[in-house]
Amino acid sequence: MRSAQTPLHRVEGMGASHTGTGHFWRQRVTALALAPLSLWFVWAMLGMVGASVVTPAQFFQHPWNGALMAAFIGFSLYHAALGLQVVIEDYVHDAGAKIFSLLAIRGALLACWVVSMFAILRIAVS
Amino acid sequence: MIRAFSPAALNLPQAATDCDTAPAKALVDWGACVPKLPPGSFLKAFMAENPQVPAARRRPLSPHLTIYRWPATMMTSITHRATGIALSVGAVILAWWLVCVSNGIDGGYGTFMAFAGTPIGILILFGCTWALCYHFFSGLRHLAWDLGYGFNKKVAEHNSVTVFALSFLAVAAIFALVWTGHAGYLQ
Repeated sequence: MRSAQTPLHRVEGMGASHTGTGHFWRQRVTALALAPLSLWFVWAMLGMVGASVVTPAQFFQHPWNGALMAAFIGFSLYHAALGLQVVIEDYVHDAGAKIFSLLAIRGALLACWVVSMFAILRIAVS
Repeated sequence: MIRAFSPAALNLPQAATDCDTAPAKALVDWGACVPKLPPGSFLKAFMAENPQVPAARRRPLSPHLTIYRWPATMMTSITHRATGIALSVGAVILAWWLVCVSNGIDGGYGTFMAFAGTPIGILILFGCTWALCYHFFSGLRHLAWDLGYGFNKKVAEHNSVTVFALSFLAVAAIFALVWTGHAGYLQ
């Protein structure tokens, strides 16, 4: 059978997409991690309703709480990056606009992650 | 040879021809079948000379979102995506809150809480809480699908209503805990 595929391309078996199930799998793994983390997050946020700044500051100074909050935000933003990427790929068809929106979304979420992590570390060492 | 394979010879429905000759008999209003152009426009004159362009314009479109009655599964699908986008914005608000906490006393926490206490602030908080509840339950359903459960049409329709009901129950329970004074236990 004649084919324009190179032997390497045929062995990789990825077809025209060039990627495998990596995106799908990461979306599911982060979702699985976020299920218990979001329950913890709701419990923590409910416990701080009506409190002054001292309560959340002392709460996140505890190593477990700071680490869980960092994990919740990290997994959330990674999950969001994967999800928003699919939304853009579905609705933005112009190549230039698509690349620009993907970079803008990733940049914004990365900035959000950096700011959140710095704030958690700052609370931890204060 | 060519005649033998024509739609008329094979007794096939001639969609494009029907659309051209008898649009009133069509069961569905195809919309794009009849291009609406201002009379005497340059485009109309140009297209009249080019037999290929009107044929391409009059090709029937498949029914899209605006034609279907929305089944519950369609509603859950689009809501899962919408709540996901909303929660991305919620993550930015959460980052703002954490920065305010890290600033300590007189570092913007009061400003944040003052805004959160306004009707708009409470509405945003309620929306984010509901979005999280909905995305949580709908996400669990997606994970169940990934394991191969719940693909049956009836089951999926039934689950959709359950996911919506659970999300509203959860957000009502969370806000009921706050308004009955059962929250704030970490102080």
